[in-house]
Amino acid sequence: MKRICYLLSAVLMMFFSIGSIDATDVSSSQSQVNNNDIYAFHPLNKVKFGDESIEFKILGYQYLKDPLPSSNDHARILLVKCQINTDDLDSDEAKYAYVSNDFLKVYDNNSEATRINVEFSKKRLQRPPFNYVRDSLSHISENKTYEFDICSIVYPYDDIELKFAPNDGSNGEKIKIHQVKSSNGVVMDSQDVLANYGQEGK
Amino acid sequence: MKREYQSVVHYEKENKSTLALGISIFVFVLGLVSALVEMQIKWVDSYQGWYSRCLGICVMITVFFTIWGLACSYKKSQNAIAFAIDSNDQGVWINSGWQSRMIYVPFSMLEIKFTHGMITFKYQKAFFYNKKSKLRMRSLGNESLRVTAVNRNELRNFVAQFNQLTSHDKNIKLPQKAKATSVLVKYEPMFGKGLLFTGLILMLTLICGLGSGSGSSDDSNHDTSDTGTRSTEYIKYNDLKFNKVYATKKFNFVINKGYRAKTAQNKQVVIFNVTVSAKNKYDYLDKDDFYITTDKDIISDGTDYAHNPMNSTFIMVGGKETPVVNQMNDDQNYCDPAFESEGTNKKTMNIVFNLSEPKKSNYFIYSAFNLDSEPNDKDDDRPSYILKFDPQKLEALQ
Repeated sequence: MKRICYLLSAVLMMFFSIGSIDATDVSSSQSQVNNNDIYAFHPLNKVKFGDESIEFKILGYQYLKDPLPSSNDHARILLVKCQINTDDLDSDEAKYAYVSNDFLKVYDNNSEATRINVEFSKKRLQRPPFNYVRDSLSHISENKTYEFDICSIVYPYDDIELKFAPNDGSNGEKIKIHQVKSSNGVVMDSQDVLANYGQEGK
Repeated sequence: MKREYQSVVHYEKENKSTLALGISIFVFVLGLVSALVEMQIKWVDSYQGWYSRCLGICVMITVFFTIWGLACSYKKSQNAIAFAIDSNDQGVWINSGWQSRMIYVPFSMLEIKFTHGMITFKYQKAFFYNKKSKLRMRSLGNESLRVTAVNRNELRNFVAQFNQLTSHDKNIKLPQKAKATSVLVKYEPMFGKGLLFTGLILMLTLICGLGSGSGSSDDSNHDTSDTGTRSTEYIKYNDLKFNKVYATKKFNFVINKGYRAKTAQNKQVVIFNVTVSAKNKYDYLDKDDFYITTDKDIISDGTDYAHNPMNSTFIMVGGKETPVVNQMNDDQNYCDPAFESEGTNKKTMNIVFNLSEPKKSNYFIYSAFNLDSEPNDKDDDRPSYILKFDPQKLEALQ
């Protein structure tokens, strides 16, 4: 009888003890926005080379207070300012060189954020604050620098992460823009850099 | 006709081992039936759920009869009278099984037989007093009981007196006492333990099934406990439990926590912190597949009285308006747990609902097809989950 009790207890303990643990990626670099200057420009200055000796550079990012990307009052456009440099490109390579906007990806809570290109008309994207929002870059010349901005729809208080991977490989660099600090997983703790977002960020 | 007896034969007191055997059989039967029901509910392929309802009724009947049998056995073990000869030497009083009522049968209408260890009283007519002490008659029947269930010495006296009082053709002969060490009796303790152990194991199987193997992603392990409506292959109707895996064809859902809160507009909301893991790389989770409702007839009504999650919500915490982080929103791509960033296929997010009736039981629903029908497409995710919860029992964020 004792053995049966032990067996029952052991099995029940197994069922109650299993829980889920979310691992956090600690290898990514951090460059977090803070509460005081949420709409300011945040410089990053990250450089990587892609195929055909093209240099990709992230200059920095900023959230746009205006325009709003959709009817949702809390969604914001994250504008990442990038540069494409072709100083090391020779003329033969330049003939076939092509750059699409997938050298940088934006993740909101681990899901790829929607690109603004889909939501806005081309005309609208040519007016300020937008200058150089593009889907791709072709007819590339050597020894030139091209501006290349990437705009995505995000909620700034979520977990926001960039993945900078000019080779489109899995070894891209992850750059955390905001990592939520929360004890209950629902609202930010006071230690979070955006703890006062509800008052100041809206 | 007075209830005065002679040559009384009492029931033998049940010994402890017999009672233990009875309890073992009870546990075994309960375990066996429970396990069978659980398996049948999993296999059942009926939208109407009538099959599981029938099984439920069978279980109730089995349990009822088992308890009743044990109760009767206990009652009879309290040294009650089994049968006796009437004091005026004209008939026999027999304890009639169903209502434990003493019935009177005159010798002329009675035939007693000993067969297969049983004593059987077969009568053409019997008389008894009803609850209002009025005489009533019962025609053609018989009463049987085990010879070993009554006191043997009293039975011997009864037989002797019965033979004296009745004619030669009605005389009866007491059979030889059965050998004390029959195979069953000899191994009875071991047999009882075996039954008890098997019953416990079977019931454990049921408990494991109800626990849905929390932590396991196996489809066969998910919850099938029925909260009173129905449980089918396509729709699971459960009480909401935190940290438990709700498995569908495409996803595993774990509801980590649930909270109540108020928005700045003083609207009550409920927030579920949910971890979703996708089983295939390209499976896409739709926000419109989640609902909340207080409608108990959700399955027949469909989602007419249910509503989808809210978009980006700000709640009041410590007097300040603060956003719900990582909330499931309408935006494209947001609900794709199989996201392409390497290393994981799961994401944790908050699903927020407007709580229109916080005092009532609410249902948190995941359904990739119309609840009032069956999945149309083989690619529709299944099963749907309807998870009942009481908002008042959730922790309040304030």
